Amino acid sequence: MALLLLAGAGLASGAPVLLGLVDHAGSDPDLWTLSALNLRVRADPVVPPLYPALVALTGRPEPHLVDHAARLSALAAALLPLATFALARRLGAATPAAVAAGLLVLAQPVLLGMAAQVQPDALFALLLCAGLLAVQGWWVRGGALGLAVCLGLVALWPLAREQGLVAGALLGLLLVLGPGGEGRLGLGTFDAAGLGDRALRGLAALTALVLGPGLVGLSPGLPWDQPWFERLAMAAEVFEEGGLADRPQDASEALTRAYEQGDSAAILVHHLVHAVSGAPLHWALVLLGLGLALRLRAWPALVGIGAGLPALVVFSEPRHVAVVLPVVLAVLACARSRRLLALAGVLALGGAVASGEVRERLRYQAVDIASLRVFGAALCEKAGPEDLGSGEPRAFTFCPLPLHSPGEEQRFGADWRTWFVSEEGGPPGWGKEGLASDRFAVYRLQPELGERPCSSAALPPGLPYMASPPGRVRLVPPCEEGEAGEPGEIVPFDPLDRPKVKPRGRFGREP
Amino acid sequence: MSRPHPARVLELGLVLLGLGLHAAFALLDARLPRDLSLVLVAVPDLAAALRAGELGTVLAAFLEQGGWWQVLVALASLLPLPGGLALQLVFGGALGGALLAAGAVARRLGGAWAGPAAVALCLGTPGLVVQARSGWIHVPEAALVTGCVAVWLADPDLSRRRSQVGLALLGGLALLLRASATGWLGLLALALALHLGRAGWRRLLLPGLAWAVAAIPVLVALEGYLGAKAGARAGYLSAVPPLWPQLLGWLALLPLVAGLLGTALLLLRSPRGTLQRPGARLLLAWGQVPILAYAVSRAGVDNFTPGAVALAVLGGWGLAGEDTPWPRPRRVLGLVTALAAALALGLPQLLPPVKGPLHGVLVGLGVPAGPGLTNQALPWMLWGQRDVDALLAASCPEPLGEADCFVAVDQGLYLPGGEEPGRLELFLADLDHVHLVDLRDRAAGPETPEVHGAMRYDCQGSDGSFTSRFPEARGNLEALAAAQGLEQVWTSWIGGPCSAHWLTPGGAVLRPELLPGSGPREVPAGMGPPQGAGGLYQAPPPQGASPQGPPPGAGPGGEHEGPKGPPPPGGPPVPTGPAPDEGPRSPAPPPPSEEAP
Repeated sequence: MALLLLAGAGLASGAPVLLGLVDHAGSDPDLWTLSALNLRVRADPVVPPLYPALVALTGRPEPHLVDHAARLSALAAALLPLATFALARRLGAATPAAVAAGLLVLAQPVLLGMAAQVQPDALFALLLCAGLLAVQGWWVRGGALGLAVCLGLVALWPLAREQGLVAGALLGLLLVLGPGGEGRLGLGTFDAAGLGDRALRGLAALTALVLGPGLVGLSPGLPWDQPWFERLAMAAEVFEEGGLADRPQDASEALTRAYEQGDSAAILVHHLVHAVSGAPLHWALVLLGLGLALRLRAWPALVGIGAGLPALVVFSEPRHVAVVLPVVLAVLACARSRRLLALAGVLALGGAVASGEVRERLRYQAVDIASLRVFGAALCEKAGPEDLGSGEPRAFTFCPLPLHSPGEEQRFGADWRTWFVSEEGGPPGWGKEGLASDRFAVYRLQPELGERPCSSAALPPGLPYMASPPGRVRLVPPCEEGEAGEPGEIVPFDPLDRPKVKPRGRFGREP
Repeated sequence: MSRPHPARVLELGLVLLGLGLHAAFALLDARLPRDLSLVLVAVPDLAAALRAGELGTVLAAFLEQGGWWQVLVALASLLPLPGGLALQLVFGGALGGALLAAGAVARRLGGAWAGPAAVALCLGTPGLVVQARSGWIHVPEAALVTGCVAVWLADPDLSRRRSQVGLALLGGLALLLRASATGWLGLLALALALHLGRAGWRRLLLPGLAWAVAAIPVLVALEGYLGAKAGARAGYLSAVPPLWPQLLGWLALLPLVAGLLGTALLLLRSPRGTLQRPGARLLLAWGQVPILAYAVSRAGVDNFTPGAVALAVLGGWGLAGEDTPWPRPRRVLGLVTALAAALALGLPQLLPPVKGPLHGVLVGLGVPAGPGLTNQALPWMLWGQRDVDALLAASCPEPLGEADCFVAVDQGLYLPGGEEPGRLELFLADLDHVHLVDLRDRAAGPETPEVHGAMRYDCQGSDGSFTSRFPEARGNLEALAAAQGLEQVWTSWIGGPCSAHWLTPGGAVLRPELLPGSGPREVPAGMGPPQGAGGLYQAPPPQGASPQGPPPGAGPGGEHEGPKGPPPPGGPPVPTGPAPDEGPRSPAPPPPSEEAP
């Protein structure tokens, strides 16, 4: 165990060096860290809130949130080998196989990369793996405490990642079907008392799912009433006829025809093929793990593996399926067949070797974050604590400012203290600020006479740092002197008004 | 004759305490009971039918949902009791039934001392005790469905005919009372079926048949009911507060914590022993229903009162149950905790209002620390039936009490923010000659009669939920005032941020000497208007009111016209902020309407 802990810690902390990264990685550092700031001021997060809530707990000043978020990922990744080993052992694997599974986890560059990413993937993988330990324990031994832990996982998993909703739902189903300590393999009895218990456990699972958001200080409710659910809804649009407007440029003739005719079945098949071809070795491992779990009747493990299956249809990056690889490896470690073990080992090692695209993606992301860091430092030298941001929210990752949507036809007091950052042009009537950046241009309203209007007014409390779409800020007390001005055509910038789901799996926002 | 068990004596004593506090509230409170969920709309007609001996009308009411409850209320209204006392008698009966049923269930599950602990936790639950004073329809529902469980647990195998009849009767009444009873009784039916098994189906025949018949009106209206609920969800989502503050207001902190703690102790210390008791799984399921139903419908949790009773029973059982494996001192501590919860809610009714930092602490705990216009936990004596009746008496035409008198309202006649404009209160006040012109959601037209008075309430924006539902109400009244020349003749602060404004044609009053507030009112400490009015609050005297018309310089009635007369000493009559001493508003404001969301 010490070996696994040591290996985990070493690999996770050295991940940036091993992968050749110039900074932390991650495709959406703004979403996660700015949502953490939202939680601090009791505004709604735009992403599943567990990771941001843990980041927000640090109490660190804003510029260091990204670093802390990356450290949190590294810590979670460091514990993954140990959790994989423990799960494998609990599922019945021999010690050497379990150790091998633990070591193979961080040999996967995609999992190692999670240690350096400002993303909740490592945390989710750890919660999934460690949680299944408890689920397996309840499955075999039962007990109120074990059940309470399972209910806690039903509440917690959906808060960690969108895929956690699938895992939580499957675990809820398992709590209904499960024996609750009456056997290792079977589903237990279905007599009257058993049925009553099962119904009660099902209700309790639903209650846990509803109460879950309360764990991070949000108002309890159904998942689709939660502010971050829009992201999942966006993913679901992939299935909608006509919702796949961004037909791949290199689409075959048949696929082009399918898009034109709105042939959902053909488009779906294309997505399946695309997802599998995006991470073939990972999917092969998942398939093997799924088969073995079914054969071993390791029902709790199926919950973990099932969490990866949505990536079959909503796939943009290999990490979406890789989050379940620790569970898969733990299951495969239970194989009694040497051939199967060897095959699993070859696939896992293959995944470790054939990872050029993953490394390239991580390097792009790191370069991007490094440039955001430089820009953020420059912006923060000029912007004051009472200023506001607008435009490209990503630009505020290292210099967080509450967001404001400037007036389209009339100027408002808050417009005068807004930094509009864009990769393209600025709003009409706004002047370009001299802020050195080869990427972003910064615009501000230029006061004609000396001091900026409304400088004595304050910002209201609870302004979000990330919102979709951002609202218009009203200063306190209301500031009249800055209300007049030339009308400007400004389309409020919606940070989520772009697909987070990339059907083609292209890189998201490379610099 | 054997001496009764001390726990039983304590349990009954607590039930009597609850009923006594209810009676004291009913006697002292100046406000009339309101029809919160439009469940008493037919009461005046039914009372008339009862007086006239029209049994057909009365019997037909039994076929409609909530009909028997209205008949019961109408019957009570025939008693020679003033104002709302007759209704409070029925409401108190529902509360007593719920308390007795909760005690019986807890006693069956956890032994003698679990009974008083459960009753004490119920007594500390505003969602039961305080809501009962408002005639909240889910209180009798809770009494009936909990009564069903009590009947079952008294004879778990339903081997006695009277148990079957009891179940059939109570469950049937619950289903005829409210569609929501189907959920509670559905779970009970499942628990009964699982407990009795195939061999016991014959014993379920009678209750099953009765419930099926009683459910027919529910099933007939089910599509509309569910459709209305689904349609109201978006509105609830924005209007109903988040779950945690709701729970705190509905259950109060002590009963909530005690209930959860007791349940946790039960499950963690002896899960098998707990769950094998008949009814235990059912109560655990009922305890979760408010959370789930809130999540699905987004209606306020106070619509799910049986869940609060279930939590109190589980808490009482877990904290003070005799057969649980923890030692006696801990059980005594549990009982003391439950009693403390009861006292926390009941004591403020017996003691003077609390001031200073302790006030904030008590409000934080969900304890009513001071009376207020919208606070049903404590009697409010500064505005109510007496005042409105006096305004009517001063303004309605001769012969007084006989000639038709038309009164326009933009919120309600007796209180602001009414779900119903005040017809029930008029019936209770025995003012059959007064007819309301309801301007909440429709403007006056050519058919609108000349009104003799108009009541306008102004709550300084704190009535946001009402104004968002009836955005045209104020405008409608102002239009009527302009059309019929209504002018403000009397105004008074009535509690919290609210003031009442009485408008009459040309600002004239037929009998000014009858207007309320012609003498100083003694305001008890902690009940005064918010801007330091001091110990004595004098409503604006009616000097300006005269049959000849308004005094010189008085413009048309309107919000900013001000009262006809000097403001009350120490502060203006219309406050601008919430009263610092106003206690918590009635726990978790009821949803706008269940019938017409």
